[in-house]
Amino acid sequence: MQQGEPEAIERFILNPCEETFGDLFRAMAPRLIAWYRVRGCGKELSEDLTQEVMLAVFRQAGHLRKPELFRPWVYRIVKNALLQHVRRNGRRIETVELKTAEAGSPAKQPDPLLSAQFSEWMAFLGEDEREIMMLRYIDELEYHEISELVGLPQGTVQWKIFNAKKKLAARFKPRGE
Amino acid sequence: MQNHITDADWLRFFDAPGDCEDNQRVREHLAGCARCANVLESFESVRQGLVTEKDRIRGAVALSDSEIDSLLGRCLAQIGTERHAGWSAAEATLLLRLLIEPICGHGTAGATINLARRRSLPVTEENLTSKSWSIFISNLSDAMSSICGAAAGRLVRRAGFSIAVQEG
Repeated sequence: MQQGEPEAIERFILNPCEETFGDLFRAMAPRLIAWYRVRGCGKELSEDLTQEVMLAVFRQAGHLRKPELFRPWVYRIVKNALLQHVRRNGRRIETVELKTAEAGSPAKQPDPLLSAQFSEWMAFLGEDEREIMMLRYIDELEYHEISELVGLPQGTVQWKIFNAKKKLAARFKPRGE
Repeated sequence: MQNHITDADWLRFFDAPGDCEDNQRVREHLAGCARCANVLESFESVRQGLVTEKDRIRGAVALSDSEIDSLLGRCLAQIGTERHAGWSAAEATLLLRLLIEPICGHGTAGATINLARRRSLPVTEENLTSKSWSIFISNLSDAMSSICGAAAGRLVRRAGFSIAVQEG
C-alpha cells in the first residue's frame, strides 16, 4: 500500500472535500495509472481513465462509510471504466480486447511494460489466477479486498493465490536444479 | 513432522508467519528435509520475482509530482465546473422571490414562500433541498394561483421547474 494512502482514504471518507480529495488523488492516482498501463493501456488513455475514476470517486464519496471497503470499491470503478471505454471505442483500441477487458486481465499481446520472465509466468497461469495474482502482487491489494472485488470468499482467494504460486514454483524453479 | 509439508501447512506458514506451534514444526522440518527446503526456495524465488516486477512496473510508469498535480488540477477544474452547474436551493428560492415580488409585493412574496416551504418540508427538516424542490414549486404555484391568479401560478411553476437545483 502506498505510503500515506490509508490516512488519505480515511480523511477523505470522513470529510470528502477538495483538500482531502487532493491528498487521496496524489496517493492513489499513480497506482491506478499503473493498473491501466499493466493491462495494456497507453499513457494518455491510462491518465484519462484514472481522471474519470477519481471524478467518480469524488462524486460518489457520500455513499461509502467503511474505509476497509474503499479500495475494492475504487477498483470496481477502475475495471468498469476500462470496460465502458472498450465498449465505446472497441474498434479503435488496439491494445485491449473486449474479452480481455471484461475479465480484467492483461492484454494478450506481449506488453513492453512487462518483463519477459513475468509475461511468461502470467501466460502460464489461467485467466482468473492471473488476475488475482496481479491484484495481489502488482496492485498490492489485501486478501479481503481481492475477495470483495472478485466476489469470492477470502479463503478461496488465498488458496487460488497459493496454488498459482505453487504452479509457478514448480514450473520455474530457481536455476541450478 | 514425519511427512513432508502439506499445502495447508505452507499456506499458514506464508500467510500467517509467526511463532505458532504449527509454523515452528514447519521450520524444524525444513531444517532436516532437503526436498521441502527446495520447495521453499522455489516459493521464495517466485515471491521475489513478483516483488521485483512490481517495483520495476511502478518505476516504469511513475509520474513526476508536477504531472500528478497537473492531472489533479484538471480533475478539480472539472469538479468546479460541475459545482456551478446548478443553484443551491436557497439561491433558487431567492431567484423565485425576485420573480414574484413585482407581482404580489415584498411582504406577500415572503409570506407565500414561507408558507409553501413549511408545507413542503417534513417536520424534521428546516431547509429546502433538491428532493423537496418539486413539492415546494407545486405548493408555491398553487399559492400564487390563489393569491394573484392562474397566470402567476403557471409562471412560478414554469420558472421553478426550469431552475437546476444542486443535490445535497
